[in-house]
This record gives sequence, structure tokens and C-alpha cells, in this order.
Amino acid sequence: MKTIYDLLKDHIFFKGLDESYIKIIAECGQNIHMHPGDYLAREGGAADSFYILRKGQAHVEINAAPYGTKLIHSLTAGDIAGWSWIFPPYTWRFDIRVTDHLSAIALDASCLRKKCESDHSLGYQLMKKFAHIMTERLKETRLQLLDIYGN
Amino acid sequence: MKSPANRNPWIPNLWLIEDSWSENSDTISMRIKPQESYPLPSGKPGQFNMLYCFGIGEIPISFSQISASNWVHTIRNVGKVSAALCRLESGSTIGVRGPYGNSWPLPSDDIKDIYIIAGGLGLAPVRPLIEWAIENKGLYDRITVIYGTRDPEHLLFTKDYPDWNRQITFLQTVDCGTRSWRHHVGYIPSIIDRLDIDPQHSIAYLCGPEVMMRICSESLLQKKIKASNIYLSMERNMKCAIGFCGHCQYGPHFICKDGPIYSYEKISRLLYIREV
Repeated sequence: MKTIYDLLKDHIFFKGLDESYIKIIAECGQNIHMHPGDYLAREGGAADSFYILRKGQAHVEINAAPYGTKLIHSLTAGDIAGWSWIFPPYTWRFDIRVTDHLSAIALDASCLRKKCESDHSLGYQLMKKFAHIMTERLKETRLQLLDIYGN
Repeated sequence: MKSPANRNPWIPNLWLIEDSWSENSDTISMRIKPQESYPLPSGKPGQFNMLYCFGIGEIPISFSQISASNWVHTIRNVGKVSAALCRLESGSTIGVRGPYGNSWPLPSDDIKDIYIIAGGLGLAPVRPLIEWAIENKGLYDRITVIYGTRDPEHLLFTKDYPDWNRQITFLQTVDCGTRSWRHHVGYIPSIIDRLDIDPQHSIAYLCGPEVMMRICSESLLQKKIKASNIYLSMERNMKCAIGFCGHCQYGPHFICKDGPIYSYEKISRLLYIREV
């Protein structure tokens, strides 16, 4: 049976990360399985975990009157879900709802923050990973804002 | 009866709208056939016709379906002429010049995987190509269609999806979804990035907004697909459609005559020059 370390090591998010760091991160992780309709995150709720998606699908949602609930981003195997755990006040900005049976590694945010504070090199390596994803999502969002298909 | 090919290319032929139907809130399709009795000109996937709405004007519209007895054009209501064409009912007469332009090039013998990538109304010009790929699917290992649009309400040709889902890999994405949406949400490159592509044996055909084709091409190049195996359908303001007027000039090219389909290798430099 694969350990949390094995699962993280195989995940694309951790590609290129020193194995010693992955071992440290794995100490904060647990395997989870969720069903369609479950929530990984609720807007305003405590961002006490982030998720390494292995199987299934979730959608980032925003609920805004009068538009109702809108799906603004898909998360599938290979993705990570959530970065609100990095910055105070550590609260989710959006809902993340499971839309297909999901297997993921949930990483305890408090545990990971402590490890990053005690080992800044680990923190820097993780921050580089997150910065890359944030840049990609920002690029994607800017293009979505252009509404290119509507013209 | 004289074949249209022998006539003055500036004079439209009379065609009858056999049927017209709504695809979504701002887009219609019309099935047309010649009003006079002559053999249907040979139309190929990727080519376009100049459709003339009498008293209003003429616009270029790609084939969205080609059969032996009629053609289908899909038109979005975005301007004076397109709005007038969208209002026409079955039984109306329009003027048609064409077909014009080049067609989607067929894959060479070493190609095993076909990727067809469309955004918004760009699904219309690749639809005949998808139908061709399905008819010839035995020749290929993988046929993948990726279609992105604004939201689920703006999807085109939804009646085709059950067949496409059976026959090929059909991946959909929208910029913004609703709770009932079960597919991807996000831009097309996020799907391309996840594909396991065999770059030496793959060909890609792209049609949609220029910025979409540019960023998708970049993703395909990152996957190591050759620039000469990435084809884009370009769009400019075509007027004469026979390479005289220059309205559709794109750098050294006249899109109506030399295009609309170009390999990325041929036009990549122009894609990054503003206001060409």
C-alpha cells in the first residue's frame, strides 16, 4: 500500500522537489475520499487544509446575487486546491465543491505553516510552486475576463 | 444551365434557404441549395462562401456542414448583414458566391493522432473536418476534439455531441459554468496541458478567436508538436473573396485567396505583430 509520501512523490505538483522536503510535507498529510456534493472549502470558512487532488473532479464556485452559483474553475487529478491557508486571515475566498468522486491528500495547514517557518528553504520551495500556479491561474482568469468567445 | 464556376465571380448565384434553425440565443444555421438546377460546386471543409442578403450586404461564412445536395452555414448575429441573414426564414432566397479559400489539409501518412481545437463560433468551420475525421477514424489512433465557449448556453451543435462522444474523444470547457455543468471550466490550454500527446505523430487544427489560437498553439508547441503540423483558420474582413480588394490582407497574405487556413510555421511571426 502506498504511503502519503509515495502519493505525494508521484504527484505532478511535487515534481522536482527534494525528496527530503516531500517527506517533511507528508507528515502533515492524510488520504481523503469525498463524494459529489461534498465541499473541500466554503467561502469564509477556516482554510485549515489544502488539497492535492489524485482522482475525480471539483469545481471552484462563486455565489453572487443575482447570478446565483457560478462555476469558475475546474480542479482534477494533478491539481492542487486552495492557497488561502498561506496568508492571514486563513479563510477561504471561494467554495470548492466536489463534482465527481474525489481522492486527495489533505495537508494540515497549521502543521505545514510551522514546518515552513522552521525551515525557510522548504517554505521558499513551496512558495515557488504556489507562485507558478497562481501565475497560471491569473493568466487564465485574465483571458476569461476578455470574454473572447463572445465577440 | 451554366455552372456557377463559369460565371462572373462577382455575381452571386441564387440559393434557396431550405431550412433555418436556432443554435443558441444569437446564432442560427441555415441549410441552402441552389435555386437553379446545376451540380453543387465542390465544397471542402475549411472553405467559405460569400452570402448576400439582398439590399443589405454580403459577408463571408464558412461551411458548417457539406453534403452532396446542400450546404449548411452557421451565422452569429453580430452585425447588420449577419442580423439580416439570421432573420431570413425557410423559403427565402439569398445570393451565394463561392466556395472560396483553401481547405483544412489532410494529415500526412505518418500522422496517428488528430487534435481539433475550437473556440466559440470556431466550431462551425471545423465541424465538416470533425465529420471527415469520424468517417476516417479507422486510419487514426486518437481523434480528440476540444471545444471551449463562454458558457453552457452558448454551445453549438449540441445534437451532434452524443455521436461525437461515442466516436471520438470530445472535451468541452466553458469560461463560466452553472451547477448542472459536468465538464471542464477554464481556458482551453489547461486541457491541452493535461493531454498525453505523441508529438511526432500528431496534427492540430485550430479555429476560434485569434488570441485563443495563439495561446493554444503555444501549448501545443510546448508539447513538441511541430509548427508545420499546427493549422489555424484566420479571419479578416473579406470583401471580394478573390484576392483583388485587399481588405483581408494579412501581412503578405490575402486571407480570402491564400487562406483562410495557414500553418503556424507560416504565420507565427504575424501572430505577434499588433494591428496586422
